[in-house]
Parts: sequence; C-alpha cells; structure tokens
Amino acid sequence: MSVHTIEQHVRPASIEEAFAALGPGSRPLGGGTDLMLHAPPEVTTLIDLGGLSLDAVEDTDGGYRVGAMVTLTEMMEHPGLAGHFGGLLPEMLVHVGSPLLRNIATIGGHLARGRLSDVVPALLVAEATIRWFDGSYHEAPLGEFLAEEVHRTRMLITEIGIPPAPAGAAGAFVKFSRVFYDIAILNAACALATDGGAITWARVAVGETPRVGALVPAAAEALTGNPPTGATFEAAAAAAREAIEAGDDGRASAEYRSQLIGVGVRRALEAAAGRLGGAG
Amino acid sequence: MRVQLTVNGTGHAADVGPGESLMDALRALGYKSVKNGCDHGDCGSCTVLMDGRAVNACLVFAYRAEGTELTTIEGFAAEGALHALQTASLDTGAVQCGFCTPGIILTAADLLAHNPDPTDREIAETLAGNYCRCTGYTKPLEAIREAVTMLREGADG
Amino acid sequence: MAEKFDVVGTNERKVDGVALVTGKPVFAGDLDLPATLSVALLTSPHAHAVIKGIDTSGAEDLEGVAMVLTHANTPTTRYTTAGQGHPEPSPYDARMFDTKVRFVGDRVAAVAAESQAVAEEALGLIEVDYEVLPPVLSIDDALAPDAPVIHDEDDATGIWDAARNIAAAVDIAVGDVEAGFADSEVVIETTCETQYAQHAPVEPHVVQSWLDDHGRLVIYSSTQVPFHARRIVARVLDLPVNRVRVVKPRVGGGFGVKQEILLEEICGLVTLRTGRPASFTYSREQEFVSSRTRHPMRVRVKLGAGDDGVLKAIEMEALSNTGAYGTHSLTVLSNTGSKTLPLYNKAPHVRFVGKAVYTNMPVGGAYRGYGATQGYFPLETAMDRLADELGLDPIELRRRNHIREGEGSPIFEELGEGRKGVEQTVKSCALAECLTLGAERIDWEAKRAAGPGEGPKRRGVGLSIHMQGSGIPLIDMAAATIKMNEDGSFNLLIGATDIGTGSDTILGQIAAEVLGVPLDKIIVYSSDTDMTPFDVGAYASSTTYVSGTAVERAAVEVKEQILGVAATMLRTEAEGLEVGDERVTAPDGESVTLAAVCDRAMYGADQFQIGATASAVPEESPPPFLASFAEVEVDIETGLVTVLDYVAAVDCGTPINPKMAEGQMEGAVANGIGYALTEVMEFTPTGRVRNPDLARYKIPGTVDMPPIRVILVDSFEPTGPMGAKSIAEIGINGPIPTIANAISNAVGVRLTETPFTPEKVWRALRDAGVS
Repeated sequence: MSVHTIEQHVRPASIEEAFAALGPGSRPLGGGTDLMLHAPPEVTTLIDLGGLSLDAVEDTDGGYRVGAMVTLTEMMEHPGLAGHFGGLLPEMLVHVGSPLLRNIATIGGHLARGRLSDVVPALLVAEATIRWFDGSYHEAPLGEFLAEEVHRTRMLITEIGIPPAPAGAAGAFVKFSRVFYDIAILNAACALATDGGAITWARVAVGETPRVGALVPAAAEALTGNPPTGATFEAAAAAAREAIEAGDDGRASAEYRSQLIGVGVRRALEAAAGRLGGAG
Repeated sequence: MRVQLTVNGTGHAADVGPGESLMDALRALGYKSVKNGCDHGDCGSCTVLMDGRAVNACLVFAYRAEGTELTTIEGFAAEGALHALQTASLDTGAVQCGFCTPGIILTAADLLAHNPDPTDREIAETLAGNYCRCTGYTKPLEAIREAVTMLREGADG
Repeated sequence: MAEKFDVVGTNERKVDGVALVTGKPVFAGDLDLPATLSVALLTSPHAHAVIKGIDTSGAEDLEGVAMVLTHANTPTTRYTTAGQGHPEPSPYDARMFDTKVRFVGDRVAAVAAESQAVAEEALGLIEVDYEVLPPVLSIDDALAPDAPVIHDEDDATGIWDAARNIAAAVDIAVGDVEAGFADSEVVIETTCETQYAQHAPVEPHVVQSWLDDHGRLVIYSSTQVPFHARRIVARVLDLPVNRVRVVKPRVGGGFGVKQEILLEEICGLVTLRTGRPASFTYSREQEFVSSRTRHPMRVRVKLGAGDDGVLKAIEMEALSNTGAYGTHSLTVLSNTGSKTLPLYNKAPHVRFVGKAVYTNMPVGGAYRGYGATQGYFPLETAMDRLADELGLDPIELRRRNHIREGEGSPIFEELGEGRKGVEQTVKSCALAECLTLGAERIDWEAKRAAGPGEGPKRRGVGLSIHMQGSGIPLIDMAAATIKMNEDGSFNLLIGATDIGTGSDTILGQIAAEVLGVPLDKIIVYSSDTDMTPFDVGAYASSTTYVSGTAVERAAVEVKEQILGVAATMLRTEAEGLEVGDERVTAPDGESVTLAAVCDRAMYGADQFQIGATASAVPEESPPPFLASFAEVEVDIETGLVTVLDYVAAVDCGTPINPKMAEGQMEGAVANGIGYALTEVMEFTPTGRVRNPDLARYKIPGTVDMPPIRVILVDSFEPTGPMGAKSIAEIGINGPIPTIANAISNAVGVRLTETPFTPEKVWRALRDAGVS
C-alpha cells in the first residue's frame, strides 16, 4: 500500500549522517514492511539505511555478527546461523511472516519494533547482543535493550551479535498460534548443554505473554545441575509459570497463557534435549 | 520522483511517489497481473520476483526496486510458451478464479530456483503467505509437485 | 447408468486458463479508462444513529473532488441489495444513502475525485452530526420486549414484523412432533451456535462504469448476478432497463458475497451525473466491515427415535441474525430447514420454525451453504449423540435414516426458498455408496477401534452426511444461445456467471458434447446483459444443472438444424445422421464436415444462420449428496485441533469436468474447515469489527490444510444435463459437524459453538476434566 504522507527519503552515506537525520518527522527505513503499513501520519521523511553496508553476516570464531539490514531470509539461509544451536534459528524463522515478507523484512527493522516477535525469544536464549548508535556506539544484551526500551529512543540499530554456543548445546523453539501463518498466542525458546548426564548450561525465554519475549532465569536455574529428564523439564516449566505473570489481550486470556507457558517451556526443552546427542 | 524500473527485462522511466508501493507502481505501468488482494502483505496476490526473490510488492517502496531485476507473471515464461509451473497449474486444475495464481506461481518459482527438489512440507511452508479461497490448496500444491517432476524430467531429457 | 461421453467427463483445461496463468488484464480492476474518477465511501462509526445533519462543503471545496453523494442528493427508493429473482423474497429495507445508519460500516456518503488519495482525503472533510441511538447487538437484545426498533422507517416493505425487529419468520409442520417425541424411545436435543464469518474472496468487490456510444450506462462489475444487478441498478436510479448494460469480466471468487448489489449503483450514479468513467473498489477492511457475512445462527434440534434408531420426529428451531438489513434473511432461514430435513425422510413428524432478526451488526447475506451449513451443525451433532446413546455405529444410524432413490420428503413441498416448495422424488442418490467408499478411504473401522490413544495428543474420527440442491425449482431460469461459424466453430453465449468456478468451461463441454466437436471449437462468452441471454447468475448451486440444461437444449436445436442442412447435402434424411469428430455422417458412411454445413448455410442455398436460443426452468432441485469424514488430533494441553485427514465422498451425478468438480469440493471443504476452526469476526462492545484484515481474521493456509480427498461417486441424474447435478455448495456443510464429531470421538466432549479455537477447546476440555 502506498503511504501518501511520505514526501521524501534521504540516503545518508554514514551512520552518523543517518542518525543526524532522525527526528520526529522521519523514520529509518530497513525493509520497510512495517512503515508501509504503520507509518504515523507525521512521518514525511524516510532515512534509507540501504547504503550503509549493514547487510552482511560475518563469522567470528563460532559466533556471528549480523548486520541490521540482513533480511530474515538471509539469516535463515546462512549456513552457519542455520546450524547454530542445532537449527534453532531456521526452526523459529519459518514461523515469522511468510517467505514473501522474510525476503523484505530486516532483522534490525524487526527488532526495532520491540513487540510481536518470534525472533526475540530465540535470540535471547542464543545470548544475542544488539549494537546501536545514538551519537556513539553501544552494545548490550538483547534482553537489556528491550527491558530498557532502547528501541523507543532516538537511535539506530546497526548489528546483532551472536556469540559461540557452548559446546554441544542445542536449542528449540515452540510457537502456539491458531494457524501456521499467524502471530503467536505465546512462544517459547530454550537452549541446553549437558555434561556427564547433567545440564550444565540452560537458557529459557518466553514471549507474547503478551509482552515481548524475556529470559526466565528461574526456569534455567531449575534445569542447571539436573539430568535432562521429564521431571526436570516439568520443574522448569512450573518455575516459568510461577515466574511469569501472563496477561490478557484480544488473542488470549492470562489463564490460558499461563497454561501455555508450562506446555511451551516443557515441549521446547524436550525438543532441545532430543537434539543434544546430534549436536554433541 | 523518476526512477528506472526494469520489469521483465524492459526498462521503464517511472514516475513514482516517495511513499508509493511497488504494487501500485507496477499496476500503473500496466502490469495488471500484480493483484491487489489486501494491500497489507497478507494475501500474496501482488507477489513479484525482485532479483529472483518473491516479495509482497505492496510492502516494497517502489523507488527501492531501482537497480533490481523485477519479474511479473507477464514476463515469466518465454514468449509464446508456458513455464512448467503454468502448465502444471492448468493441468492439475489448480486454477479456479485465477486471481491468486500469478502470486502462487512466482512464489513457487523462487522456491524451485533455490531448492529444486522440495519436500511437501517445504512447499507448503513456502506458500504460507499466498492466500487462495477457491481451491483449498490441494491442487495448487499438487501443481507445484507436478512442475518439479516436469522440470526434473526436462532437465534429464 | 452412466453413458459414455467424449468431452463431458474429461478434465479439459479451463477455457480462460491460459489468460489467467499468464496474468492477462481480465479482471474488473484491470481496466484503465481515461479520466476515470475514483470513488471512496464514508461509513458510519456508530452502530445505530440518526444523521441529523451532514456538511459536505469542505469535501466539495477540495481540489480534485468531482462530487459528494449523500442521502440529500440521491434517490430514495427502498430496495434490497440481494441479487435474487424478481420479485425478491428479501425486504425492501435499504436506501442508497439513508438518514439513519444501522451498523458500524453502514453507508453515509461517497466521494468521487480525480484520484483515490484525494477521494479519501475528502472523506475526512465531511462533517456528520449524529444522534446516537442505543444499539442492538445480539439476537436476544433484538427480541427483548423493549428493544429499540431498527427499521422504524415507514416506507420499507416486506418486513415480517418491523416493530419487533423480526425481518422474516418461518413455521411449518408435518405430522405432530409432540406426538412423535411421546412415541419415541430416545429423545436427543442439542443447540448449536455459529459465528459471524466473511467470504473473503481474494478479489474484493470492484466496479467500473462509463457511458457507451449511445450514452447508456455500462457497469463492469465483479458480480455473480449481472442481470439482477442491471434490474436493481435501473430501478434504484430510475432508469429504464434498456439504458443499463452490466458486463462481468473474470471474477476473483464470490462465494455469495458478490450476489449483492453494493457498489454498482453508486459508481453508476457518479458516471451518470459527471459523464465520466468511475471506479470503485472495496478495501479489504471494507470487505469485512461493510459488505456481507454469513448469518450467525442459534439452532436447536430435537430428535425422537425408536430403539432401532429410526427417527420418528425431528424439530428444528433456528434464530438467525440478519444484521442491519434483511437481505437473504428469509431464504437463508428457510434453507436451514429445507436443505437439511429431507435428508432424514423416515421421520413422519417434522417441524421447522425460525426467525431472522435485525440487529445493529454487519449484514448477513448469501454465503455458500446458505443456511444449510448452520442447520447441519446441530442436526449431525444430534445424530452422532443418538448413535452414542443407542450404541450404534454412526454410519449405521445414518443408513437407517437417510433418503434414497425413489423416495421423497414432505419437506420438499412444504418448505421452499421463502415460500412453498415443490414436490419432488429423488431420482439419483448414491449416498449409501458415499458412506461405504468414504469409510473405506478414511479407514473408519480401524481408526474407531484404535481409540484416541494416550498422551497429550488424542486422535478421533467423525463423519456427517449432507444434501443440498441444484438450483431453485420453478424460480431459477437460464438461457443459452449458440450460433455457428463457417469454420465449424460455435459461439456459446450464456448469461451464466463464471466467478472462478469454471462454469464457462463445463457449459462449453456440454455444448461440445452435443455438437460433436472438441472444446476448442466452442467460443464461450458469458455474463453480458447486452450480448448474452438471461440467466439468474451464479448462486444456489444452479449453474451446472439449470444453465447446463439450457445449453444442452440450445445445442440439441442447433444440431437438428445442422442435420437438416447435412441431409440435403448428403441427399438423405436427417434421421439416422450422426454428428461427431466435427462431421455429420450418414449410416452409409458418407459424411460432410461441420464447416461445409455452415458454409452452405451461410453462402450456399436456402441461406440462414444456424443458431438457437433455449431456456431452462427447473421443475425440481435434485440434491447432490455427501458423506464427510475427518480424522483430527486434539492437543488436550493446548486445545489446538488439527485436521489430519479429510475425505469427502460426493454424489453430484455426472461430473462434467471431474477435476473442476473435485476443485469445488476441495475449496468448499477448506472454507468449511476455516469456519469450523479459526474464522470469526470479533466485535468491540459497540459493534465495531475488531479484526477487519486477513492477518487477524484468520483463515487456515497451506500448512494447516489437511489432505482433502474427494471421491466422486458414480450416479446419473435423469433430469440433469448429461446426468449432472450441481456441486458448488454442499462441501462447505461438512467440516463443522464432521470435525465436532471427530473431536467428540477423540476426547468425549461435544462442542456446540464455532469456531473451535484453541482456548475455547481447552476450556471445554478442562471443564469436562479431560485436561
């Protein structure tokens, strides 16, 4: 759909220039899919981030640096990212929009929304960091970035950092929705590593509670040091239900979400555990 | 603003608004196969290939298509011939009203270009954003499987 | 039984197929005429209000605005938007623009401007002074003794009881149901509710209009009913019918929502007043908010049966929410009974009673299934419960009760489309075989025996059976004209309306079969009120049966003319000549080509145009029959219901084009699965649609859809063209009861309110102690 209120776009030559152009009447343009649908009427200028070399995925010793302008399809198809945590990212990304959207939408633009995200829980358990520019560069864990609502401030996301996974770790993603191509009623991601029959490292994140995804340290604690068995996973699921205060919205009631938190965390853990052998 | 759009190999000097969508721009240029079914990126009727990747043309700012190769269904098959996806769509009964058909064929073309032997699940996941109310998807999915076979046999022969 | 055919019964490609797969500009919105005005619609933000004043001066002053239409400058004729046969059985309760708005989304004003952007900007400059009235947002509120009256205007006609908000009512009885229940060993009663749902064709409503060389109004419309559109537009705009031409190009799906006259008269009036072409397209949001929906219903069914399961009495009571206007209110309500109750014709005592009530909600309309969908939910749920109660296999219970060849039902005569029906004996019915073949394909016995399994994901199988009709007897009418060309080809001109169903193709196949030519010798042109003969249009599963009969008759007449000419050329009698392979052949083997026959008729001796027009009015409405089966998986921890497999065994007589017949079933089943599981229009407490887009009004997609396996079961309808019945609607009735019964088989819980969304199912399971 055309946005008739847009009057111009600028193509800055540097991040600094792009940042300088940011104001109440302008928006940074990533893939543009959100702006096309939801550009506020006061926005008349688009700051096209296309020419800033933010469109590469770099390998960094088992980890990755993903430019903000990398599309979701490019992330899905990147051989390294695709295998990270035993396939966690493609398993999640196939649920994000459709290929038609993933071919346009960028990871930076997606995270800048700060809401309605299947990506966030998966990146949280992968311990992703986010780098942004607001006059100077900053980098912080994604969870901190979202908790402090940095996305609402005047800034530009430039890069996502994904550190190496712990040896032998595997992850999984679970989404509950009415149909496949849908926003989640609730989603959950986890990642596990084991040694000698005990979980040595664990991350659990839950999203669309209906708040955007967040790590659930209590669930991770319930896992660490215990064997990767049904009883452990049940305990982690119970800890997640206890720790998260689910809310109501048009998509689901708090009560139902609370049920899904337990089911989602347990099923994600079971799926990740099933991949541990192969990944190790 | 004036931009150069290359559509099916033909260059157009197009006058587009700064906020204009590629869908509106292509329809204004006469590429009426780019259908407007929802204008919100939910139905896939406006799908075109942009440098070979299938996109919702309603969600792409038109000026950004400058410098890319755009393909619509009008230019998809060689002159006078039908692509295997088109032939298979006709022969399996995959076309009912036909409004969604160009989008489905182009989305499938992106898939087959990157994955010439997809599983049924991969075909279904790829078509998740192409809405069809007439067929229930049984025959369109069958058409894509049929086209995979046709293309493979064509390549072997 | 089935005859052998050459063209009929084969999977011909669609005659318009190549144009569609190559993206030719063949839809209503694809036409660019010079200097076209764009039309935009201002709709009501209030569910119920009186327009005290409306100031359009700001909009009119905006540069590029050509005109603003409101109640103050448009015709005041009351009419119905329902594109039905004349006189329409729907009340005349609508005006082009009224002084009262009756639902959020009702028309307030329209702007015509040089561009869509200007037209939309102008909408924001129209100032409307509303006196907001208390809204009526449910069936129960509408029927409350002190309910606000929605249609208090004094010039509406055809409303059953406007003061009580009742648009239409039906009450028919055969025998004495109370006596029947008293005499029954088992009585089952169930009430089911269905939701607001939208057709959501992928192409929205589109109309373009212009004046032709004679100054006549041409309307190029994505309509299912071009002839009704012409008649209604002429009446509303006070024009003689001869000043209006309606042309239907390719249409991107309809499913009933394009059986309504929603844009044509506004667009046409803009053209008449400005002399310029005009273009009007509903946005996707307007499709949801301002067009038409399926009538939500609450339907109660009570069954009485003997120990053997044979029904003694059936009572059905339907309450239908017709929304703000009564379009299709009476006929949809009637069909809730008339298309369901004859299926179980063993019961001597039957009663159907119903009301369609006005509310300040979106307007119900025609939607594939047309009331039967809502009726089959409780009927087939109750039958399943009866089987449980008696310990009978659900298939066996259906076998003991369903109608068969050579049988009738008093309901056929008692209940028609908004009036008395037509007595009818079923002349083709392969339902017994549908049950057998469908049960085999889904592996019914093994799966029922296997049980739901353990763990969080439980499996179940269920079934339901159905009938529909083939057109509306003694009301529908179709005509076809065939004329011959000197290369042995034929123009087939039909009023019938192909909206993506493939009717142009199958009607061409029928003509080709009779005339002994391949399909590519039939040039099909349809749905142009100037160029083609009359047809009621694409609705009521009428086209194959009614229009097909007209085509067959016209082709037979043309064939007789051909044989006459050929007899002269071959110096023999017409009797004994045969057509085939594009020739006429005498018993002695001598032959002439069809091209030579036409050449002689055009240029040789005794010249004349070989051609004929024939009409068909059905005397009955032979039902197609269906047995639907589904296997589902119920996730008892989340309430998510997944359909794993779906089998539809259908008797539609001769399938003229089997792949297209399958396609009709597959599409109808898919739509029904959406209606059963996910699709629902949600409302705010003030009656506004909360989810007017495809992202939130959730329709299952490629990944969600199970394999839909269609079995076309052999039968031959002696009154149909080449033995055919219609198939367009019946499939959509299957999924709700079939899935509900399969869920019950999986988890022992009976769901009675659609859609079966995860949270709702989870709550029902929890309340029942299952999860």
